[in-house]
Formats: sequence, C-alpha cells, structure tokens
Amino acid sequence: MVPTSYYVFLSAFIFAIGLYGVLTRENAVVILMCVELMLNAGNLNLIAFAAHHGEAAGIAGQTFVLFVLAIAAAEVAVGLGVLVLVYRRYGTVNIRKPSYMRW
Amino acid sequence: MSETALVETAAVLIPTVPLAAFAVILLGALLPKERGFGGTTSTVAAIASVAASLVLSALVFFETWTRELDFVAVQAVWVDAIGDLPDLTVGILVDPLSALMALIVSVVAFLVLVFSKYYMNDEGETGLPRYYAALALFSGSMLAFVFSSNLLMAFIFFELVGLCSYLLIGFWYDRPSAASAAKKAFLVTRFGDYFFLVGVAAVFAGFGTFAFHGDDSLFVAAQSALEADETVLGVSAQTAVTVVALLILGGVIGKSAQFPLHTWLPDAMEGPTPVSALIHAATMVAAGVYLVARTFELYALSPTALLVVAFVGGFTALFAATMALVMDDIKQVLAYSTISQYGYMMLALGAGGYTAAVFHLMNHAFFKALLFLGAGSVIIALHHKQDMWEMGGLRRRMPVTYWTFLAGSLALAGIAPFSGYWSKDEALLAAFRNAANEPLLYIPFALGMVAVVVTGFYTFRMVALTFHGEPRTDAARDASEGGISVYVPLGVLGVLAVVAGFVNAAPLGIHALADFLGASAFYEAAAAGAGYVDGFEVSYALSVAALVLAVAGSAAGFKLYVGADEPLKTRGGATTRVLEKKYYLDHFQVWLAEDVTYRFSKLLNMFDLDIVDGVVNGTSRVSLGSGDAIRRMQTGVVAHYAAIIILGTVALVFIVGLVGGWF
Amino acid sequence: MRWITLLVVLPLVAAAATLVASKFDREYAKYVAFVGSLLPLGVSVYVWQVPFDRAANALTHPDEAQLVERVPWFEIAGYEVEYFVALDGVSMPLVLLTTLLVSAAIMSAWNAIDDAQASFYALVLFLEAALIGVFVALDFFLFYVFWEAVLIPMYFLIAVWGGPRRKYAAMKFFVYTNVASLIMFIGVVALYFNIGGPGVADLSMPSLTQAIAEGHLTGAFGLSADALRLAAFAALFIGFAVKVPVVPFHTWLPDAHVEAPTPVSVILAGVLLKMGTYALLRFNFTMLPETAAALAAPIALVGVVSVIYGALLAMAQTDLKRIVAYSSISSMGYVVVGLVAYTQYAVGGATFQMVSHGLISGLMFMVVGVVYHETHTREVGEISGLAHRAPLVAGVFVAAAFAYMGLPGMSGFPAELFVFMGGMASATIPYAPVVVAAAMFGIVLVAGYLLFAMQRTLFGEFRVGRADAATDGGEGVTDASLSEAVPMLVLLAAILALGIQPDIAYDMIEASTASVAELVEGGV
Repeated sequence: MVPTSYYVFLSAFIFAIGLYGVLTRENAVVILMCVELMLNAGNLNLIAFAAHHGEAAGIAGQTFVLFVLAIAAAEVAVGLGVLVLVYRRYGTVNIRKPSYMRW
Repeated sequence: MSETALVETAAVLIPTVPLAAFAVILLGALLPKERGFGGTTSTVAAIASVAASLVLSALVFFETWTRELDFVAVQAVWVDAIGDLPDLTVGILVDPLSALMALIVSVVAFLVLVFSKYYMNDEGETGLPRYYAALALFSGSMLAFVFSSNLLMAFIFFELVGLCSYLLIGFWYDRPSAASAAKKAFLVTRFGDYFFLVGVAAVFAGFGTFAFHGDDSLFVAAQSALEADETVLGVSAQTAVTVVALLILGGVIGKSAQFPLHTWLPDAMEGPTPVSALIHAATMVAAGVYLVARTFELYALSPTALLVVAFVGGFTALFAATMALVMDDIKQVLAYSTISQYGYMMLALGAGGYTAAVFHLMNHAFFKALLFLGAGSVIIALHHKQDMWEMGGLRRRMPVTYWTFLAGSLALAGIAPFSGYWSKDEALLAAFRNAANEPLLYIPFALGMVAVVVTGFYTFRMVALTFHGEPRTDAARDASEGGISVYVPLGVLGVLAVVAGFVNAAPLGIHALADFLGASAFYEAAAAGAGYVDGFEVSYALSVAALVLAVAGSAAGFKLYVGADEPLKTRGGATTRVLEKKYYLDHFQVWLAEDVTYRFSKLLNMFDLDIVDGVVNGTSRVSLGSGDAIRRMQTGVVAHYAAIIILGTVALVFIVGLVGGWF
Repeated sequence: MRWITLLVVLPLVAAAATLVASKFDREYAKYVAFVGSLLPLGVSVYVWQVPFDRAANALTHPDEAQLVERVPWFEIAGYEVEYFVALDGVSMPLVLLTTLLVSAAIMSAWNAIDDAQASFYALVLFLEAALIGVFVALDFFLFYVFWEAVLIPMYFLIAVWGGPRRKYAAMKFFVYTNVASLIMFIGVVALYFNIGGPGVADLSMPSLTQAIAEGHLTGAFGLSADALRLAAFAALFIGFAVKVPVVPFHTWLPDAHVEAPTPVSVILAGVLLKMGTYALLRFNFTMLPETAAALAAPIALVGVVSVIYGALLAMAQTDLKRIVAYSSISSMGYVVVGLVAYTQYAVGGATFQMVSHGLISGLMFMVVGVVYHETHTREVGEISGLAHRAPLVAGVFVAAAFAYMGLPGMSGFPAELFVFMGGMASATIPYAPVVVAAAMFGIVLVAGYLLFAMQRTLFGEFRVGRADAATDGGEGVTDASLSEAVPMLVLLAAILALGIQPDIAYDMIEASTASVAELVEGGV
C-alpha cells in the first residue's frame, strides 16, 4: 500500500503548481484552471486522509470531496460567466485590464 | 391707605399712559398703510398721553407736597422666587424726589412734544409714527425710571431710556453720521451700564434686596452690614459698599455723559433738535444724576465713593466747558454745556449737597430745554443751518426766540437772579463747606469755580454770535419765527428759567425745596457715613464771588465776539486745536474700539480658523491621509491580493506554530 | 391619554402626510407640513396649560415627574430597557420651544426652499420628533436613540439644501458631533456598569441619579470611585460641550450655520444647541454635582472664555450668519456659567437662557434669511440702507439685535440677569463676583458688533452690492412677504412676552432647577 504521506506530498505539489499559476498568470482562463488544480489538490488530501483513517472516520472525507466538486463546478460556471462578460467589456481576458476596483 | 388711592392710581398711570401710547402707535404702524396710523394720529396720541402724564404728575406733586407723602404706592411681583429667596418686584415709589422729578420730566416732555409738532411735522417727514412712538416710549420709560421703587426696576428703565435715545438719535437713519451717532450713544452708555449691571447683580448677591424704600431697603441692609462689619462677597462691608457705589456710578457716568464717557453726547446732536432738548434736559442725561440722588443713602455710607463722584463732577464741569469754548455749531456748544452742568450736579452730590443737585437738575431741565428749543427755532429759521458763523443779528428777526434764549443763557451762565445762579451757587457752597472737613474737596471746588468763568464766556459767545452783530448770511437776514407751538414752549420755559431759582434761593433765606425734599435727613446720612457737615451755612462771600466770576466771563465772551467775523475763529494755536479735537478723547476711544478691539478680534479670528479649526481639520486630514496611503495596497490586480492572502496565511500558521510550540 | 407619545408621533405622522400629499401636487407639501407642525405645537401648549403641573426635577424627584409613561421594552445584559418618558420644568419649556420654532421655521421655509420640498419638510418634521424625544426621554437608551436620530435629518438638511460648501459643513457637523456622542456614551455606560451595592435594574436616568447620589458608584479599570467619577464627568462634559458648543469645540457651528438653509439654521441654533446644555444640566450637573462643584473653576473659566471669545470672533465676521453663529457661542457661554454656579437664580436663569436664546437666535436667523432672500448677499459690506426698502425687516432686525443684547423687556434680559445675579452669589465658583463680572462684559461686546452690523446694513443710503460696483443690485428688494413676516412677528411676540413676564416660563423652570441648585452646599 502506498503510504499516505506520498499522497500528501503529491497534493502539496499540485497545490503549489496551482498557486504559482494563480499568482503569475494573467490570462483569466488559465487562472481559473489553476484554481481548479488547487481545489483538486485539496480533494486529494481529503481522500487520502479518509482512506488513512479508514473505518473510524466513516465517509465524511469522501462526502466532503463530493461537495467540493459540486462547488467547484458551480464556481467554474460563475467564473466563466464573469469571464465572458469581462471579455465583452474589455475585449480581453487579461485580468490586469479591468481596474475598476482599484483606488 | 384709601386716602392715597388717588395718588396711587395717578402715579401708576403717569408712566403707563405714554407707554400705552407707544404700544398703540407701534401697532398702528404695523397695519397696512391705508388703514394704519398717519403722522397726525400719532402726534395727537403722543402729545395727549404726555399731557395726561403732566396733569397727573401735577396732581401727585401737589398731593406729595401738601400731605408729605413718602411711600411705595404699588408693589407687584415680577419674578416669584421660591424658597426664602427674595422675589423680584416692580413698584411705584412716591416721595418728594420722584414727585418733583416726574413733574419736571412731564413738563419738559410735554413742551418738547408741542415744539416737535412745529419742528418735525412741516417737513414732509415720513417717519412721524416712529418718531412719536419713540418719544412716547422715552417719556414713559423715564417716568417709570423716576418712580422706580427698587434698583432693578431702575436699571430696566434706565436701559429702555438708552434704547429710546438710540432710536431717536438715529431717527434720520439715512444720514450715515446719524446712524453712527446713535450707535455710539448706545454703545458708550452701554459700557457704563455694564458696570451698573454688575453693581445690580452684586447688590443682590451681597445685600439680597433691591428696595429703595422701607426697612428692608438696600440702604438699610448696607448700613447694617457695615455696623456688623460683615464680610460681603468675600470682602469687608466697607469695601463692598464702595465698590457697589462705584459700579452704579459707572452707569451714571455713561448716561449723564461724565468724563470719560461723555463722548457720545456731542455726537448725539445728530438727532432732531427737540430730541436733543428732551435728552439733555429731562430724560436720558438727567437719569444718571437722578440715580445718584435716588441712591444717595448708599453713597453716603462710603466717603471714597462720594469723593469720586465729586471729582468726576468737578473735573467734568471744567473739562466740558473748555471744549464748549471753541465749538461753531450752536448745538455742540449746548451739548458741552450740558455735560458741564451735569458735572456741577455730580459735584454737588459728591459734596453732600443733595438739595443743590436736585435743585440744579430742575433748573437745568428748564433752561436747557429752553435753550435747545430756542436753538431749534433758529435752526428751522435758517433752514437747518447750525453753524453760528452763518447766523448773527437774529435778535431783530426773532424777538421771542431772542428774549427767551437770553433768559436761558443768563440762567446757564449763572447770573443772578436767573435760576441757574441759585443752584450753581448752592452746589459750590456744598463743596466749599465740606472741604473744611475733607480738604481733597477743594480740588473739585476750585475746578467748579473756574468753570463758572468759562461757562459765562461760552454762553455769551454763543448769544453774541447768534443773535447780535450783523447777519452773516442771506438766510440769517431772512429768518422768521414760527407760530404758537414755538411761542408756548419757549414762553413757559422762559418764565421758568427766570423764576424757578427762587424756590430755594438760600442766600435770601428761602429753603422751600430743601424742606420739600426733606434734605436734612440726607445731610445727616452723609454726616454719619462720611463725616460731612449736616447743613450748609450760607457764605455770602462765595455767592458774590461766583456772581462776579460769571459776570466777568459773560462780559468777556460777549465783548470779544459781538460783531466778530470769520478771522476770530482761526486765531487760536495749539490750545484751540486740542480743544477742537476734544482733547483727542474721541480719537482715543475710536482707536480703542477699532484699532485695538477690532484688530484683536481679527487676529483672534485667524487664530480660530487656523489653529482651533486647524486642529479639527487636521484630525480629518490625518485620517484621510493615512487612509489614502493604505488604500494604495488596493492595486486592482487579483494576483496581488491572492499573494497577500497566502503570505498572510503562511505567516499566521508560522506564528501560531511558534506560539503553540510546534517547532 | 399618552400625551408625550402623541407629541413624538404627531410630527412623524405629519411627515408621512407631507410625503403622501406631495404625490398629488408638490405645492401641497408646504401647507400640509405647516398644518402638521401646528398639531404638536397645539398639543404641547395644551399639555403645558392643562395636564402639566409645575414640579420638581424629574431626576432628583422622580415621583413628581409629570405625564410619566413607562413601558418595559427589552432586556440587555441584565438591564431593563424601557420606554420611559416624562416632563418636568426643564423639559417642558424646551419642548414648547421646539414645537414653536419648528412651526415658525416651516413657514419661513415657504419662500426659501424650492427644491424637493416634500423631502425637506418631511425631514424637518422627523427632526422635530427626534428633538422632542431627546427632551422627554428619561431612559438612557431611549435618550441615546433620539440623540443620535437627530443627526440623520440634520445631516441631510445641510448636505442637500445647503450653500456652496454644504458637503463639507454637513460632514464636519456629523462627524464632530457623532464622535462627541460616542465619548459621551462611554461616560454614561461607565457609570451604569459600575454601580455597586443594590445596583440599578434599569437604564433609567432617575435610578442612576439616585444610585450615584446614594454613593453606590464603585471604582473600575484600576480607578478609584472618585477617579472614575471624574473620568466619566470629563467624558460627558466633552461629549455635550461639542453640542453646546463650548470653546474650543465650536468650529463646526459657524460652518454648519453658514451652509445650512435658513429654516434649518433656525432649528439648529434654536433647539439643537440646547440639547447640549440640556444634557449638561441633566447628566453632569444633576448626576455628578460634587464633581461639578469641584471642577467649578475650570468650567466657569470655559464658560467665560466662550462668552468673550465668541463675542470677539463675532466682531471679526462680515457674514451676517457667521456673526449670529458666533454670538450663539457667546450666549451659550452664559448657560455654562449659570449651571456651574449652583444657585437657584443661576441654574434657573441658565435654563431660561436656553429658551430665550432659542427664540432670539431663531428670530435673528430668520431675519438674516429674509435679508439674504431679498438681496442675495449676507456680507455686511455689501448691503446698506435696507431700512428704506424693507422697514419691517429692519424693524425686526433691530428688535432681534436688542433682544440679543439683553435689553430689558426682551427675554434675554431676565435670562442674563438671573445668571448674573445667581452667579455673583455662587459658592462653587472661586472669586465668583470677578468671574461673573468678566463674563458680563459680553453684553458690551455683543452690543458692539450688532450695532455695527445694523449701522452698516440697515442705515445710510440704500445700496446692494459692493460700494464700487457700477450697477445697483437692489432693484427687486422688497419688504418681507406675509409668510416671512408672520413667523418673525410670532417669535418677537414670544420674546417680548417672556421679557415682560418671565414667570410664564420661569415659574415652572425654577421649580425644577431649584432642586439641582440645592445639590451643592452654599449659595443663595
């Protein structure tokens, strides 16, 4: 059996990739994808620990993951909707362009 | 008390009727023009009301005289205090002093109103309701002041008299000079009234009563505080009495135009001439001296206060007289002579000469009203020319005015047997006799004696320039006199100026006024409180000396100026200039008001805007500024926010770990 | 009959009616608002004349409070919050003042306000309700709610209908007074939370007064009971001093007055400032008398400085509204001096001065408003000889100015006289005669600047505009219209009535202030 720590390291790795993408990329679609990566890294963690604790923890971990998946889907839907509007307004999906929320 | 019911009713009505006339005229003026009061209605209302007061005053005077009344006729609670605090009351005090003064005031006011009809009503004047309303208020307030039964009520009407002078001096408000003079009159007297009000408050706090009359009067309270040597308001009773007396004197100095608050009075000549007559003779200016007479028993308790009164009076008598020497405007000469004459009254009071002061107050009221009305007659005849150098030779054109004016002038100059002589002589006598006990009184006495010469000089300079010599202008050549409403007031006052002096011609052994006033009680009060003599023995040497001085001054003035022409006026050097500039006292006061106070207030304004408000605005600026600095973090780049969130989270985890002991 | 509740609710009903009526015709708003404001006026006069009896102070003698309504509301942190309202001789005259001034202000707004009339009148009526609430509330929570509620309409009234710098003035007013309210709130809460012994079960002001008087205040936060009392007193004093305003917390007032539209200035000067002095009397001087007496010297000094400083600043102004604003500061200084003197006449006179100054400053602002409406300027140097064209305005101006100067026969005179008489006799103020005499010098200064302003604006040749301007700007200047004249004359009549017969109001005032004066030993 693969030790749980492997999953955790993998999850951390994926999370870091996602984070790096969110912070550095300017294309909103890529950022959205990176956010998905981070979410799924979290999911991986949840699953891994659920398996690690086995019967004692019940199915709470798996349930969480299902919730997160659902929310992620919703988030993508909303996010993409926003992106479409942003694109219509500014003709680009570069997130540095809309600066209305700045001072 | 039923036998005094008539007097009571009359005494209440005396001030009330003119005050009611004021209210009626005022309300009438608020009505729309077509239905409102015109000049005629208001003239009639005012004259009728004062005529009623005159009749009633005569009645009260007669009753007081024959039955020796001395009582508080009506006492009403004005403010009902709870607990053992004294109520504030208003009341009508009928005694010889108030009865006499009310008669003087109503006689002069009535004659002035009659004369006003001639002086004001023929000029297409639009403000007549305002004029007569203010005159009625003036007379009513003065009469109420005269009958005041306590210090507070006296202050109230003292102030209202000041208001009326403001309204009347500034009657022709479109003239900037009139508006300015009105302001000055009110402001300067207000400055004096400030001290009076402090005195009123101090009397309440110190003695707990305002009453003038009876066993709980403030005089009795002060007397008993002195005897018990109590501490009043944190100081000894003697100091407190002196301070209170001097504070009240502040109001007197303002209203009676004594040095150094006399500057408003000459400017007040901007008002219509009948108003000047009223202000000078019977109302506003008289109020000050009357107040000292009324509170004489308080002054008698403090030798210091009496001395101050005498010094102020003596100095003012001479000081104002010298300025009258160089004035060209006939009304200005009269104005300074008023100040000077009230100085004599103050001198008399300060020297314990109660009768002399009241006597001179009465005589002065008649002859000064006469002189002002005479001057008014001249001014109207010359179409509002007031410069004496534009007059001359009027005695042939205006005989009635001339002869009556001459009678007034002789009275003013103090030449026997005209009224002014007797009272002035008595004032000087008081100072002279008491100087034996209090040598410092020789100084105001000497000042008063010198002023006799000066008075004669300026009075006959005025007579000579106005009525004698040749007419200097066409207007003076064509002058003519008015009708009945001129002759009646002038005639009545002229007769009074001649005969009034005989009611108390002390050198002839007549003491009717002194007896009527019950003066010996006041002499005894001054004797007990200040060590003054308790009666004044006639000094024939003094009487003759005063007469000689007055005649000498008058003759010199007449001789120098009769037939004089322009050049005389410019002869003077530095002295004349100082006199014409009124000793620079006006300049000083204007400087004090404008350059010192106003500048200071401007500076203070800058301080307020820059420093006080600066701190307030500074607080907001700091808040806004720091907010402005911090909001720079809102770059609008989502990645930055995310980075900050992550760094924050990491830092938090790190800190929690550090504190929680994970590492 | 729940008269007080009626008094608070009627203006709100009138406000709603105004808004509804304006939907039919925008011209209806002014008339509906005016008639609506007459209702609370009528009720307050009726209450004063019929069910109200002169009574001792509601805080020191809660049994004697008039027309009490007391309903439990909710409980918070173990304290019962109540709807607790009542009247006594301090609040009754102020309620009357409020209802009268609001009616007068609404009528005077007929000409002055053109934009969004319905909202304007509705806000004014809402303000009236809050103001009445402040004066009648005897539960602290309720008091604070009303106290803060006053700010909301006032902010909008200045910020929307004001002059060119209205945003600045409104914001300054709001922030300044709101910060002060918070400081005050902390002070009161510190008192409530540190009552030891039996404690207080509710947030009512009489029970707090009683608990403190009985010595149940304990220390807290490392402070002794006395230190806590001092701190609370300071917090309360600063909180209320801003509202009064007392120098140096006064700078919001001239700005607010200059920018506010005339009817709002009338209410601001006439009633809002009295909230500060009313609360000073209720909280500082009734609840904490020992502290007040101990601090009498600095407080009296602050009062004297306010009088003199305000008067001197008024002298330096050229805008008529600023002149009146600064002289309000000066007049309110007398109230502070009177309150701290702790004598019957002084405390009563201070309360009387609140009413008197409310009427006089209201009248003064109305006159200035009419002058501005006619000539479109308030600069002293730009108007001259107004008496020719507008004799009524000039006459009222003169009367109001003399009232301000404390001329006998006007309400200002008894007010100031009582303060001076009582102040001189004070046992709390050290060297009282000298201190009070210094404050009294204000009567000379006030005469100085008002006479000067009158001379320049009313008298002389008629002219509007700068002296060197080629054209005469005064073509259309006429006298006050009926809707401007009536409120002015009504206020003037009230001023005269109180001046000639002060007992109309003073009778009930002294009954309620005497027990305050008795809280400190000594004095007449």
